[in-house]
Amino acid sequence: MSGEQATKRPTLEELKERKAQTRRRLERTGEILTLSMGPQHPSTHGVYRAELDLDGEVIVAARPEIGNLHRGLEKLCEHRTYHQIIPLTDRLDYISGFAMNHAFCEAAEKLMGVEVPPRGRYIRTIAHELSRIANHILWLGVHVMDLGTQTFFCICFRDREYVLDLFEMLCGARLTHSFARIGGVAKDLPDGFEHRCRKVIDFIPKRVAEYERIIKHNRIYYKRTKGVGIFTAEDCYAWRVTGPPLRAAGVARDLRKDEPYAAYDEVEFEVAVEYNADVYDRFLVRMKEIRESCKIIRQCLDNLPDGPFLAPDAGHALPLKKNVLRDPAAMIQDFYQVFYGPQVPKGEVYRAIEVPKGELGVYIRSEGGPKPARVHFATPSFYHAQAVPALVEGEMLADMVAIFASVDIVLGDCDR
Amino acid sequence: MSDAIAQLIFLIIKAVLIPLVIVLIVAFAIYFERKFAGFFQSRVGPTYLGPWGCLQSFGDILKLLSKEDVTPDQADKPVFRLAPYIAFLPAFLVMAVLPFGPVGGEPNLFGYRFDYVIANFDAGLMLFLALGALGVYGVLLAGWSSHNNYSLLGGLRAGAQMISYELAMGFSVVGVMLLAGSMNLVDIVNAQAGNFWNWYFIPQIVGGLVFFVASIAELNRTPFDLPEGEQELVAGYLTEYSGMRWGMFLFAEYVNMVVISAITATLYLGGWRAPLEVLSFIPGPIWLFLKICVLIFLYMWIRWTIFRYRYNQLMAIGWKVLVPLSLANLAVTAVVISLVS
Amino acid sequence: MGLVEIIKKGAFVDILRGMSVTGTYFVVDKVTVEYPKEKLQPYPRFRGVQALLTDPETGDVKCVACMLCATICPSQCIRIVGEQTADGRSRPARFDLDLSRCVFCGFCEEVCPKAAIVMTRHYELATYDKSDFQLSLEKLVANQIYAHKELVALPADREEGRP
Repeated sequence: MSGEQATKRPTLEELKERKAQTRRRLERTGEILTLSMGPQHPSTHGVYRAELDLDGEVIVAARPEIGNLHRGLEKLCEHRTYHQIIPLTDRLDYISGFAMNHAFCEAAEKLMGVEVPPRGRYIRTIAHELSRIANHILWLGVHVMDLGTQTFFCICFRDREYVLDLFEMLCGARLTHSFARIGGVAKDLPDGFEHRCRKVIDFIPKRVAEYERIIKHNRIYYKRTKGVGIFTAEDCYAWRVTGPPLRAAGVARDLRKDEPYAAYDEVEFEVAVEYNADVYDRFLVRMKEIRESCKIIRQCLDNLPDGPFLAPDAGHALPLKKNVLRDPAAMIQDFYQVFYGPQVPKGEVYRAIEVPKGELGVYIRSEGGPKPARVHFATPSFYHAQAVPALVEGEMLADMVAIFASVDIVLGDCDR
Repeated sequence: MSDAIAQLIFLIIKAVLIPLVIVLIVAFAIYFERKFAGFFQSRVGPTYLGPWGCLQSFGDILKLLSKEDVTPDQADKPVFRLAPYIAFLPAFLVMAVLPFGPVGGEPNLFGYRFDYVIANFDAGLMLFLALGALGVYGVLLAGWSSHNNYSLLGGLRAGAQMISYELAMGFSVVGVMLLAGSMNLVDIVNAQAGNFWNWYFIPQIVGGLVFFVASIAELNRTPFDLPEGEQELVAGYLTEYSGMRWGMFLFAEYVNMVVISAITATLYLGGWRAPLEVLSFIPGPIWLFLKICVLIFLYMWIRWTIFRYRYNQLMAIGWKVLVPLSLANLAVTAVVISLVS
Repeated sequence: MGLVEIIKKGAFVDILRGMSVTGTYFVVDKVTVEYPKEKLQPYPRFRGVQALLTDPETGDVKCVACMLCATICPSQCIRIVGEQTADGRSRPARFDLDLSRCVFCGFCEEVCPKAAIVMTRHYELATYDKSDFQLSLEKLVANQIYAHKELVALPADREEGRP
């Protein structure tokens, strides 16, 4: 066990061979014990049920069961105007709330043909990257807690508080942000936000370095996560697994680079890629992503353009409050947007963006009215939950928990 | 009054006082566990009950006593009810042979000799190993009698783990036995007379480390707490126990922790002896108490920092690393002693 | 594995490194805010319970029962019944806000053209009686004490609606 990983990258055949070794454990025939990792369990991230067939300690088969948190979100969207859907999207992946708002607004803007002004795009980028940092820090806390220590859970929550405080300063809520609007964002950056934000993003990479100091070279973490849960690029493509697990398998696919939106084509950052496709590499990928997010936020704060943060688009966007109080035209826009809704052409649109957990695709079909005819959220957690049997068969029970945490499933995202 | 009656009176006093003191230490150990857990996690622990929350354990005991006793319908009821007691009684019994002060010598109390040990038993070390093995039954029976797949898994894992690590413990204490020349705990402490460089942790450094690591596994604490691995098995063999029965298991774990700390202190850290000769005016029990506190703090620090091992890795460590190391330690000790003497 | 690696493994170097970090946490200041005794003040934009502001000149609520907040609310928790006063002004006869449906999204505050309904910083809403969640006009007006003093100013003086 050497401290740093050898720089030789494993090829696809090598990874497949390592995975085949765990699959060979399935060839034993013993008595099968059926264990239900039921909806109430301290380490399934929400109400997820998996029925496991165990042969000793080895998982022979896994049958996942989702739907315990289904709230009919997509059906609810059909009865609300596009503005009213935004608080609903908060509740999808409630850990990175702004990213969900952002995804929906990007799709709706593509459908309506609204262009977001530069300042709005930059503020969206800042908020999105902050929610990415919050998500990854929470992921780390939960992942390490699943492996045994509660200390890191508390420490990660302590560090996440700084990011949540920034969100509270920005939009008034810590978790359910509802901050993006069609055409931009709801409010401008408040006084003192930039100063505080810079302090936080100077401080977070030091914390990440501290986490790595404790976890990355720890022999126990190494033993529990190296070579565990190998999911090659081929498997990822087969199961539509995106985000950090895909990037840990060597594929440099990041929608922020491939199909840029918001201000991502105007900032420089690297895509975090690792090549061993196991749980350890997913940890490395996420830590690197936190650092890159801090870089992005710093660049955005340095280059923040002036101007409006919400598109002055009377047909599609809500007006600014200060205009409503004085300007009759804005008041009319206010009444129109609230009582009728935005003017949406007939058509359908699909837009995918890179949220912290993976790739979130929003499909909207409109029949021309203010309310969409159909909204579908192709959430990353849904596909990752589907892929869990392929990931854990052949692994041991204790590894199931580590692997399950590494693909980062949130049931709100999965069940909608 | 004849000497026999005086000794009888002293025996009764010791037999009543020592379990009481242990119970108090355990109650405060539980409180300190939660307080230190808080401190290691950068938060304050319990603060509500009493100054700095020090009466938290007593509040917890009251709460546990007031809970409903849920016994699974298909569980094996007599065994289910008996298991917690089997888990903690052996640990209490070990305290009977542990010296916590000077034994033998001049009469020191009202003209009679007060020995700071309940039973000056010649095979004290053997008793400790044997009773440690008995403690495994409690866990195994709890897991089996709960009639629950999770508990069964937890109980089996615990049983296998404890038995494997007892081997390593046993081999390492043989090294101490060779150095002291006796199995009597009183003699072992007396053989460490002098200053702290006479204590056995220096010549037996490897054995001491092996014993410490194996004792963490005996206690089912992190990094070896897979049997009660909260994240994998809900609560392992404790799943079906509620209320005060669960409280008894917790109590058993902490009594084991206190007793094993006491044994570690006795075997490797000089027991009730002061680290420096000049400080030996401070009575023996205080030094033993301080050493127990330091060891308990160490157990807690490790628990709140490290992850747990996966099961096959745990067994691999026990059999492939600790047992050979302790055997090697034994061999080297034997060779060195025979060369020197 | 080289000799250095074996020694490092035997001396538990990596584990001691981890323990040193937790050891430092043991002695530094704790981050806990002991809630009932110490309370954190939320930021100005915090979305707490709603309040209806009254006009200092007339003493009546600023709300003109335009129904914008009731329509935009994603949870449909606001019910307003309007009336005309003797001097031709609109005002709400009833303004019922069901707090158990409210998701505290802040849209009602955002669309109000008179800046009459605002989200205050009051968040301690737990109660033993479910009927406390049905806020009436009087209760909402009473919540004004939690609102910023700046918000009670006249519309012409207000910029963004929030400091």
